[in-house]
Amino acid sequence: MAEPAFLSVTGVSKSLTSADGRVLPVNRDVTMTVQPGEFISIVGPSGAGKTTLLRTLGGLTAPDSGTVRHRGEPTRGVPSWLSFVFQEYNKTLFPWLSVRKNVRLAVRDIPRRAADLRTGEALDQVGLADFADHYPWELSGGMQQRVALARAMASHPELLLMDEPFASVDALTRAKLEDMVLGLWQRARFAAILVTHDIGEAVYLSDRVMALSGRPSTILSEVRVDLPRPRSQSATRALPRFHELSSRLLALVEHAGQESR
Amino acid sequence: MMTPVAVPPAVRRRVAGRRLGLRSAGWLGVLAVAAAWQLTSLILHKPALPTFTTALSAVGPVVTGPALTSDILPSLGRALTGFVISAVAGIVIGLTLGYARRLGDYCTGVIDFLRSVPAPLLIPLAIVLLGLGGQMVVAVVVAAAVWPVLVNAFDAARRTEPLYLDTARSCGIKGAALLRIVVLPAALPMVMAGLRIALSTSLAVLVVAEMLGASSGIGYFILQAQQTFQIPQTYAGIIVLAGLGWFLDTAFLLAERRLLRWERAVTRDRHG
Repeated sequence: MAEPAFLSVTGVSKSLTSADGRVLPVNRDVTMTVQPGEFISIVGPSGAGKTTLLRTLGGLTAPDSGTVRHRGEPTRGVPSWLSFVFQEYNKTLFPWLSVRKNVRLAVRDIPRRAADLRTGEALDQVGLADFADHYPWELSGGMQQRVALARAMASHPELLLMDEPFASVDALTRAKLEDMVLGLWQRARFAAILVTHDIGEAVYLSDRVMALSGRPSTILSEVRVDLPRPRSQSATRALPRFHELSSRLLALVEHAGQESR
Repeated sequence: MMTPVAVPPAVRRRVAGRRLGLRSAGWLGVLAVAAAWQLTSLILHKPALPTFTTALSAVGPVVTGPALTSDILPSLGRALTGFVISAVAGIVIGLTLGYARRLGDYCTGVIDFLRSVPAPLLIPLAIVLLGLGGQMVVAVVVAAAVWPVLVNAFDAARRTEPLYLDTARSCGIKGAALLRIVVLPAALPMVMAGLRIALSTSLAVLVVAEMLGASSGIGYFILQAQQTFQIPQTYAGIIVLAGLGWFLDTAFLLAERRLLRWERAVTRDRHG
């Protein structure tokens, strides 16, 4: 018998209840597998339920039906082997804690020495060792998102879940953050799932891109990104293949967006 | 390279200075009221309204005399004991019920009923249960001062930023640690607002309880002075109590300024 997949998502459906009590089906019958160390992006029309799917994959919400399995074992709650990076860094960094203490939260259940070491190491990796004793609100948006990234790295995750992590920063900072994530990924070889509305970003970073349909969303199609690695912003984005893949995905997502309207 | 946008301490001090203590304009106001008092008293010329200077000169002997140890310090002790008990109970119960949504739903009715009972109404009952004296006074103070803290902590905990909670869960923080590390600090601005109301409530209820059911304390002192026609002493007692309230409030604001440094920085950021 084949070894169970690193992460297998089978028939996941999820509905959300709106404030006025209506039940909205958000994800329908989503099935996918993730290999260890694989970089996957999820794109789709706005309102397709990308964030809801990511929250379900990470155990922040339970699916109505279907399963999420890690090496064959169903997951319960938020497993310790994964970490999150959210879009709104100003709401995921605690303003009453210093940068160091924010990062340290991710490793609070390991022995003190080791936790200190991991915290320092993670801050080093994102180039913020000198800002450990600053408060998040003393830093720029890009730096704050690097703190969130350091916190996600500190626990040495097998899987990194990112929800539009670069959507709230300017274009230049965004490109730098993308390369920082790629660098970390190349070194630590965790699997990554990125939710984004930026198709170029998805293609630039990923091994595979999943295109979601409109709501209730299911996986429309999956595009394998066969661009060479290591990638670089200027060289990779100039390749004809990059544009070919981007156009294909853009057509898929546009089509899906019209269907749902 | 990106640089931090720290606010220079000098600017911070200037902004904070505006909220603390009295500035010259504030002192002018106090002076104007004192002058009006003095004038009214001189015109009316009634024993029930001594001049401001007479009342003020009675303050010295009161705060240095036997009343310091027999009345003022006991009152301060009772007020602070009641305040601290209210603070701890209000924060722990409020945050817990606010965070445990279902449990909180069951309790809101009871809380709303209990907190609409005016605390002085409980004094006769407290005297029956605890007898006359300090314990009874502290109990009544708690019965009044716990509510602003509890209700604010409850509301703030219910409105904890959902992403804060998601972040905490993804870091494996739960239970009491979640309350301590995330829910309490996030609720602190509202909790502090509740505590400040609790502090002034403590003093107000304290004197009423002391007038009705104690044989010491500033409340008792003021009532005694009034009943023995020592009118300047009566006013002196009131001035002492007001001074105590002002002092405690200022000390409180100082503590708040330290604890909520981050909140002022964050709100300043968001409003440009």
